[in-house]
Amino acid sequence: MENKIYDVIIVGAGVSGSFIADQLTKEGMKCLMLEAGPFLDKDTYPTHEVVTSSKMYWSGGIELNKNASLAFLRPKVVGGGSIVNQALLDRFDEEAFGDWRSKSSISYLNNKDMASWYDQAESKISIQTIPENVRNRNAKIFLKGMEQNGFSAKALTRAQSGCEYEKGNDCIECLSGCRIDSKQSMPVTTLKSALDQGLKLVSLFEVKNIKTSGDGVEISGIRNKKDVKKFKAKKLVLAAGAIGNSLLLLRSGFKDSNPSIGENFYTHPQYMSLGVYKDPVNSFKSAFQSVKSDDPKFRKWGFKLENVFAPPAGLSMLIPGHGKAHVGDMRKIPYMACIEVAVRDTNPGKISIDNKGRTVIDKKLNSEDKKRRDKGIEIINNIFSSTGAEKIIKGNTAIGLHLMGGCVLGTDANKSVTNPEFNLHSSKNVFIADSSVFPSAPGINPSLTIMALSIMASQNIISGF
Amino acid sequence: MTSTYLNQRELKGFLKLADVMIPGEGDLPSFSSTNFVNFIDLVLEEVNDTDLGDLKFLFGLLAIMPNFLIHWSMLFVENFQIGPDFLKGNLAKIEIGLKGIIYSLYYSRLPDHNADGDKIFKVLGWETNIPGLQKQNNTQKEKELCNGGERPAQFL
Repeated sequence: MENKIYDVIIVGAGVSGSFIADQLTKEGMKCLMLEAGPFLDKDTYPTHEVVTSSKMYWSGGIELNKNASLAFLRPKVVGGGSIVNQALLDRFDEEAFGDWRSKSSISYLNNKDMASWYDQAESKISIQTIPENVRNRNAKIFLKGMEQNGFSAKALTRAQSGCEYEKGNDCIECLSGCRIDSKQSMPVTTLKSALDQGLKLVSLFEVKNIKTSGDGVEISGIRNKKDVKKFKAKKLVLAAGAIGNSLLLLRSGFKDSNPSIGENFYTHPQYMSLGVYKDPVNSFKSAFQSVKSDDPKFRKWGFKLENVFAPPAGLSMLIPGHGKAHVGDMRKIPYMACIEVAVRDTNPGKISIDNKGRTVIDKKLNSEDKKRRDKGIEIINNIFSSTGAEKIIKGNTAIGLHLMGGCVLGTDANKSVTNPEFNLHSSKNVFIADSSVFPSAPGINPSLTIMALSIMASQNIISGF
Repeated sequence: MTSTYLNQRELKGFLKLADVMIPGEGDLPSFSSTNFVNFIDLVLEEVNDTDLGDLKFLFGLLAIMPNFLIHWSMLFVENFQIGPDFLKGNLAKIEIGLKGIIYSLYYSRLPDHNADGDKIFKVLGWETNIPGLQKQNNTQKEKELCNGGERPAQFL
């Protein structure tokens, strides 16, 4: 055991952990960050998909729900989702906050009170709207189809500083980490400043257990799969995401004092469909994702559509079947357009641990969620059909990228895990402000709100010292 | 053809399955005619002990199954729609797990003796660039970086 007592230990080096580390170290606090994944940079991000999936995600790439109808992608790398996701940023609307208020009874969850926290978050990173002149044919098909079917769309807003598409950069490469440091991932933004301000970071360290007492916390875990280590601090921030935080608290015996740990798990289930065209689409060129639906009807119907694409190994998992038929479809990649429907799911899932210590994720779509999914897929089919697709391939695998809930915010300790001050109900020394505190699925990309909530939580942590 | 996790019989069973999944067609090589199997530990070292035990058993079984039966079994797994959730879920897990290993090894532009990874990408028409950056093709280095051989940072 190291004798030193830190002011704060932060578990997880993703968006929330990095934003909090930046705020706390700026105040001179002695912070230690523990991250299970590797610490890579623009010169060392993997260039082979199999390395990305096996080494930068938990469980070798994907985790499945109980009936294997949903595949969860949970990043395990310093920078977390900001490394492997698309860095799309949007403020929540009153529809999302209204639902949160009704579930949590927390009054500050509204556009007006959150505005200054959003402002602060946005000041920390470069945010750009993807320009019209870099849209590839996949985006143009999406826009044309949306228009032909009477729906509105708009350009995506993204955390990026200079993708230099005009030089021929193909951004799909940055799904394994941006190799030109344009994507505003944490290691080039808030984590960088936190490290400059004295943050200590231990990567490849998997936290196994948390103990709390009246005057602090003790963390134990394993470094690089072999060295057992323990650390002490006055306060603890859990920033390991919905699944990570829930598992850690459950394994550390917090369920008795916080009965809702692991409950209310949401994922925005995503269903990708491929349209095959006669002429090349080359969806992998330039800004591979640049537009999204912006139609009030979709918000009412409970989903959004985005033009997306995936690298070959990812596509191979979407295309059904095997053998020559599968290979035949893979040959058509340059002729494929792709649209996904992301469902604003209403049916809460549950994260638990079985009697052999294995993770169990019980997450299903209820009839309302299925209705939303099917309506979205119906519109995608209409978009493809109206723009001349010769064949439509319904994706074989549903994906959960936005992992939310499990330690939700609320005033009632029996129905929530985290109180309005971002403390665990049962411990004033443990704070949580990442996506695990989301009371429900907002139907909007979560990153910007995680940043805003994390800055807000930081002020509570600082004021407690 | 060696693996820390699979013996020769299990590797044989894996390759039989991989060739049913990717039999080779025209200018695309079959899985077994590449040497991508040499990278299988990249994936297996992240698989938990229970699942690894199941995989070893399955690959051992496949080693003695005729190819047509492997193909039929995959068709059954892919198309199983009725029945209890427990059975559907487990079959879907098998399908996703096996495809995940085989397809991610085949479609990741891994370096091998015949530069098959590059050839496959060329046949697929997959050409992405970040001009100004040299293409890396050092899987071993990538693996080492991810497993702890990273830059010296603030490690304790």
